[in-house]
Amino acid sequence: MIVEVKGLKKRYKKQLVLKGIDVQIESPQIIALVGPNGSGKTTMLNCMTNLLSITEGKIELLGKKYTDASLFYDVSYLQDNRILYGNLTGYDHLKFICTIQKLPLTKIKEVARRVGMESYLKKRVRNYSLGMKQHLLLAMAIINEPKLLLMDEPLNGLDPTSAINMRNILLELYKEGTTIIVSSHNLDEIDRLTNIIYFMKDGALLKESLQDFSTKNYIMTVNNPEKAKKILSEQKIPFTINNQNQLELEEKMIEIQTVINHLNQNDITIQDIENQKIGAERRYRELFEQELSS
Amino acid sequence: MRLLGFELKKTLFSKKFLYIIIGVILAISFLFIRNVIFQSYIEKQEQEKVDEWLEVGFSNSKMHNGIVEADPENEEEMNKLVLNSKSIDILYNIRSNIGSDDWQVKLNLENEFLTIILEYKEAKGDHPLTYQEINHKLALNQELLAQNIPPEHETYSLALPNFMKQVVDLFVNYGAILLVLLLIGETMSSEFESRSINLLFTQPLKRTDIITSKFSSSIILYILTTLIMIVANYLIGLIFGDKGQFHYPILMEKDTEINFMTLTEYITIALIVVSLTMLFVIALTILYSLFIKNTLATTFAVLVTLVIGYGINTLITWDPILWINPFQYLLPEETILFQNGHEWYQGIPIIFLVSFILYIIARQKIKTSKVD
Repeated sequence: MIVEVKGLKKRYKKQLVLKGIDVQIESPQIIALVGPNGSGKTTMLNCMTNLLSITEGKIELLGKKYTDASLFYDVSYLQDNRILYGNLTGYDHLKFICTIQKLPLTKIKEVARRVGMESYLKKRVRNYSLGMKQHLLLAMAIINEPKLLLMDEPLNGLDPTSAINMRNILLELYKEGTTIIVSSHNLDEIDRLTNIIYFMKDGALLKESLQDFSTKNYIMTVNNPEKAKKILSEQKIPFTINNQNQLELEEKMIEIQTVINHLNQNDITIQDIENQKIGAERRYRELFEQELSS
Repeated sequence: MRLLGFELKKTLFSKKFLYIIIGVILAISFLFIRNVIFQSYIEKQEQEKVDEWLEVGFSNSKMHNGIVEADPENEEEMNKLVLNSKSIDILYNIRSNIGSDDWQVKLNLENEFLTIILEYKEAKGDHPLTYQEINHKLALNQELLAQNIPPEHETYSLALPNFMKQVVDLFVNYGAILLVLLLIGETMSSEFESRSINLLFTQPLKRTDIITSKFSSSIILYILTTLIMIVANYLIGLIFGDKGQFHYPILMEKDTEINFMTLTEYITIALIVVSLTMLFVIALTILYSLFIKNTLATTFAVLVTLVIGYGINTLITWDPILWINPFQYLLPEETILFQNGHEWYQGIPIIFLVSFILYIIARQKIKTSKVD
């Protein structure tokens, strides 16, 4: 088991901020943790890494209890840039990790090249931009080639090139067998990274694989929408018309070939048919509709 | 110990460390410049002192004359009058020798004056100089004459050893504690404040190693800064000051008897006891940081503890308590120079023990320390 979290509860004073989280990850995956501010994403990651005490529950990472510091040989946690020391260089930080993790110092150049921070490796961190700091944090998190990588808002402050670069690195790591749990507000990037999303709301977790929604809707463009509407109604086939006058049909409710046959028999030309994949943003909108409207 | 190098680097490469070192060197330089400027004042000060004593002599003379005129048979008053007159004569002699380079003549004259004043006081005469002042001054002058060492001004000396003592006195009384609080006060608490502790907590490290490395690096930084202070002090005195004598006698009391230690012995003992006290302060600061997690509040709590501890120390005069009092060297000058009923090293075992206990508690505390 890569991650096993059972009944994780965290209480701050009188408020229960994690309400019994359960997570089981058995094989390498990229999992996105999505939720509004204050939903408990960072708290959950901090609890998993023993930075915060837990009120109740069980946490095991790579088969070890979360309080066992030796698990950090194989688990990395990319946190916010406040953990960096301004008066030290990027090289100093990476050298520190190498010393602690008993890694050869040759790894420093290797990882700096990989994340694209060779040119400012020996500059003091206080002179780094936000994006440069994110690069350093990523380098510090992946220098030990972890089996489990936890990331809290890694895309903050990254320009598009850096974001693409980071995405590619994460996908490479995933292919190499690393499990990645990444919390982010950047839903577009998440869409490009994974379709397994853990939505967090008020300290509770809703696990979803967007794969399950991938054929949710067919969007059909026809030459005569009014006629098509009449035919589908007669055949009692459920559909909706969107604002572009296209037919939207839920995959679970219909047999697509039957719909095509009915329309063809009535001289309606199907100009385009699109199997629409549900995205993180759309799912987020659905789940957090109330918050968004308020 | 994998952490130690990183810990040292964090402070050594900080602006704060640079400013502290520059501050220490500037403070020593200013002190030396002040001593140079005040050289001309030394003679004036001596003149004023003699004039002050002359005034006392004249006033006493007037009083004794009055009594003797009223009662010519009063032998006691007559004796006082004679002794007082002698002291006035010597003071005139001292005044005429103020600008002289012959320090032996000056010391001998001063001793003559002090001996007369001692006799005068024993004859129930009134003089502002106390028995202790007279006896200490007499003993020191005699020691200087016996060792053939010219006297140095207590406050404005330019002689390398005496200037070093002056700097060390300031350091052991105020500088060391200030240095530790500025340099090391935030070593642990700032990690919590800035959340950089999260980096250390998410590495394959035993948390107790963090305490050990913080403790070790703090001690190394303290020693390093102290060494820089001593070297800067020595170099400034050596280049711009006079040669002086490192075996210059420092007067002390040992079981109420007057005794002497050399200036080198004094500096060594003072640095040893203050450094041990700083070990205790470092342990206290690290432990408090784990509970309070805020630099200002931690510094305040440490200072309050030290003030209370020192207050209790001054209130309790029972000597055996010194075996169990870790606060006795906070202002160590008195402990070193007045070893009446106790030895200067009496507090060392308890400081080691308390520091070790604080270190062990800190190691236990960090095991369960969280960032919330």
